[in-house]
Amino acid sequence: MRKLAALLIIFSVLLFTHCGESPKQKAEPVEIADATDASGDADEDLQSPLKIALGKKLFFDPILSRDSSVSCASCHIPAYAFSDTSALSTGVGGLKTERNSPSLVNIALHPYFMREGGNPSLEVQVFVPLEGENEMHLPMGMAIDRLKQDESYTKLFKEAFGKEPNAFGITRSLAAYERTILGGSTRYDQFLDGDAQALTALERHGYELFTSDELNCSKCHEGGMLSNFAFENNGTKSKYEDRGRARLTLQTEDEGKFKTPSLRNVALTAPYMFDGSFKTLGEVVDHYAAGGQGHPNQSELLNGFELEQEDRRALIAFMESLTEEQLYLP
Amino acid sequence: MLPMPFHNAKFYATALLVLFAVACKKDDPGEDDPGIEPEPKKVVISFDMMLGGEPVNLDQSMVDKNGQWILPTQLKFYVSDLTLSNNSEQKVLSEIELVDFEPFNAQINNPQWENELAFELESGTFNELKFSLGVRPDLNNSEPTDYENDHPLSVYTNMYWAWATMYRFVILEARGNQEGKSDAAETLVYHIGTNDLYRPGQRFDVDVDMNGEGNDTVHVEIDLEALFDPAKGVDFSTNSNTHTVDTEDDYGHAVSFMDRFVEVMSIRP
Repeated sequence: MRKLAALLIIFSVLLFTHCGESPKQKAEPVEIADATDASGDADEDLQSPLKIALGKKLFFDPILSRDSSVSCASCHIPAYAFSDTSALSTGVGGLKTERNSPSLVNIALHPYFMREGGNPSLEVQVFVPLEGENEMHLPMGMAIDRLKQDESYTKLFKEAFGKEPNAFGITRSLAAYERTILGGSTRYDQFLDGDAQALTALERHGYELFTSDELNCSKCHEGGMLSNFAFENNGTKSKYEDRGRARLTLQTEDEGKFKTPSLRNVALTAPYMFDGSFKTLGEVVDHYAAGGQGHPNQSELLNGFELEQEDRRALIAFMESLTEEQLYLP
Repeated sequence: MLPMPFHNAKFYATALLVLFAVACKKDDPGEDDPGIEPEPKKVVISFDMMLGGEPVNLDQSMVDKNGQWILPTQLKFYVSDLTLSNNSEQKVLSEIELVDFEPFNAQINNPQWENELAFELESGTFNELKFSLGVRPDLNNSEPTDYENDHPLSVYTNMYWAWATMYRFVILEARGNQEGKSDAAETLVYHIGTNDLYRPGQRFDVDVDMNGEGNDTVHVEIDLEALFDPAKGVDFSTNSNTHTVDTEDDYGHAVSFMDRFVEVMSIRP
């Protein structure tokens, strides 16, 4: 009997000490250091303070929209992790954008841009909202002319680039600023760094659920960025009007696939999905628990699951711990 | 004492007249003054929109032989590797050009493009004109900020599809009504692109002779009546709007449009 009791004690000790260990999939914390371009080599000259400052000024200035009513910051609001709070954002003339506004935090670390991944360059991506008819609706040529007529901008461009305003300067300065919107200070990061108390017990339980093979969340939302940046159809719709990646590849198997977003700051970036159709994280969890809408291209990782209310709360609590406590901004 | 002639006023008057005539003799250009050069000879490739057998401009409407009322409002497209050739040689006139039917606007300071393309060509006779319709795939991957303002691939063309980092090959916009009713016209929009719709190696028989004096012009006619022929071309009751990739139908419509657009080009005799 004593031997049995000893064995039980030993087993209990072993069980207790291994409960807090990292799961099979250990996420790597994102390294936030200098602004670098994950999709290319860092160019120190393009990240000069003058260029960053110019980009920041442009980012917040409605001068870059046709009727001067919206700026980049209208849809990428700092307080909301540089996203906004609408399902679809509002551009010039009150027109609605086609997709939900993504967060720009850590955008420098993305390998490509646009939800169908058609744009490998943060610089060239500037053209998209600038010229989009339901976004800022200002052809680049007109943007250049408008900035040339502004003495303060002409001076800033000459200081930063040695030239009058032009497309190269506009795209490079905006991208330079965007590369500085960096985070890496969530309580989740602290937890991964070894501070077990950084997450509450409820959040730690949520983390275990998140990384479990039953829920499969971390299969796509992996690593420090909480995204593998793969293109997945997560069953949001049974039929997609927005073709997603198929718009670029023209392949039927890419219908309804979109770039997996990073979940960093997800608590700040509601509503969710490519079209903002889910208002809360609770709706998102319920969607995955139900196993998606069953589109033919839906990921095999969506199998549905059952969650007790307390588990649901824990999962949401964990996702809320992914909020940056501080952003590294110039 | 001076000889007799120098006492004669007539002598001096005559001498003055001779001197004046010699001094004012007009120089023969090109002989004594090498600074003035003749204008270089040019071959002009003129792309012309045609409706009912007649050239038309943008914002000029007519009713075609099928009773359709058509009003083109915008037409621009890229041609690549524009080449003249004969049996023994090829002259590459240009790697890439933008053809734009928008009339030149002197109020605009930015670069503008035209439907007439002029290239210096001093000599030679050529019996074939060749070009591709669209942007060659290697150039289609480039970025507008790489180019000078007046380059056909620059930002000022408004042809760039930034979301996919490529260019639109053709933009044709018009108003049309198949029953000939201008007040019931619908908007027709065709924005065509992607490498799959690049149409290389379009060949046309021509008769270009640069060995004589002056320029030579080749007229490439674009028959809008044939383009929008409901039976053989683009039936805009079922295909009035495509941006090539937005829907599956979009792509099919774009293919039909591009294939027909190429077919309706011909050389004016």
